[in-house]
Amino acid sequence: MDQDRRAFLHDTGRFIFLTGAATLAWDFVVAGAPEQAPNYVATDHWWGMIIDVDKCIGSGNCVRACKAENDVPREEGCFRTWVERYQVDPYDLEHPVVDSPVGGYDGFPEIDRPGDGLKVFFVPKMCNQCADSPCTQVCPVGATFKSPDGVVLVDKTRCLGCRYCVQACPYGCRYIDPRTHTVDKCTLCYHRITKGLTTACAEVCPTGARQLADLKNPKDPVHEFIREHKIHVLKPDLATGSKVYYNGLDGTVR
Amino acid sequence: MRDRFRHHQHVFRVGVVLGVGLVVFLIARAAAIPSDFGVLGFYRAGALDDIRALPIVHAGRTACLECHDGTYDPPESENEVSAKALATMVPLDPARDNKHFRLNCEACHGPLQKHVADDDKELPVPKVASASLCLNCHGKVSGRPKSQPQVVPAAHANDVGQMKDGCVGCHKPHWPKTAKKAAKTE
Repeated sequence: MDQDRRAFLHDTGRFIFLTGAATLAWDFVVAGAPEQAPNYVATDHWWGMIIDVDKCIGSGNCVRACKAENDVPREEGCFRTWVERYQVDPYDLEHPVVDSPVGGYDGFPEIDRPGDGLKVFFVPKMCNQCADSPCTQVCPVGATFKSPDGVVLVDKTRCLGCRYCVQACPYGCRYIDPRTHTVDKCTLCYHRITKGLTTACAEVCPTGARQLADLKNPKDPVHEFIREHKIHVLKPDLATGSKVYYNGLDGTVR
Repeated sequence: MRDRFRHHQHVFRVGVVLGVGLVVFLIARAAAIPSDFGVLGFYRAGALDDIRALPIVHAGRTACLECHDGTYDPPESENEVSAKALATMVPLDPARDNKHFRLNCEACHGPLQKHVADDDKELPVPKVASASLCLNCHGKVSGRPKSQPQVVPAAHANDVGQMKDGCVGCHKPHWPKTAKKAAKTE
């Protein structure tokens, strides 16, 4: 027995005052890094996101942060999130003009169109983290899947690059990484949210237009927000079970 | 009838070939499929841990405030806030009077996990005072909601008729309200 009295009292005290999980996590808490705590239980969470369209100012912060956080190549078409700008003519609601120069990475130019009757607004887009995702259903090798906490992920070691899922996604949220020739997509910053941080896009959004939501956590303000606002998802007719909830989404948005 | 079974050896050979094929297939299948495949669903369970282990790039506001708490506090004198103006405005509350209070640090300073993880702090936090950064959010752009303060740089100027030192000559990023404006609203 090489345990001295001090160590024995220290360990016993910890076990008496803390529950099992907290005992495991305590060293990390003391080290000032509670997000590293090993007691993350995937089935206790159900992740989604709230996007407040009226708050989006088109700064492009989310696009830049996402690329930096997730090592997304700067090449054309490689986006895990991007911002679209809708220009709607009140006389022709069915045919909005949408622009998204470099996904909004460098911001947006001023529009120079005659007349001032246009309705113009920004809509951030990203993977909708569908509960019944069409993309995971078509993967022939089990390389893409929905995690127990509701995030659609890609196992890059198994992906063959067949592009079937790219076609299956109705929201256009997948791209082929030109370096590895495998598919890639938004992971809802799975490496961050499982450690107690928010997503990179929500972290840097200057107006709080994006909020990470844990739908299984009764204390998450998401429930209050959904009750108090008119919520809509993209393409509800496809019954994808989208978990990106838009507040103030215009009916012209596709 | 007896002729039919005269060539039973052929059937046996086919059986052997199929059997060997089956064994080869099973061995190849076992080698190709990871052991944790199918534990949680039709995917490799270890992929979850692989993705969780990816490096974090943005540290998050909480990590910044551990050392830099008070960054959003009211300026003492340097922000052209004269002692008199300060006296009429107190008590200043960052959450109420500082419109940048809710901005997270990395929204402007960029990803800083390396700075947080670096014990010697050899990697400095980049100062970002360029006008183009301000205009990312405050430039006049179609589509931006009216509630967002926006300027056309050429038309936005101080009394002298031109902006000095870009935006930060008048607006301190951590407390953007200028003394004049602040005194007016009080």
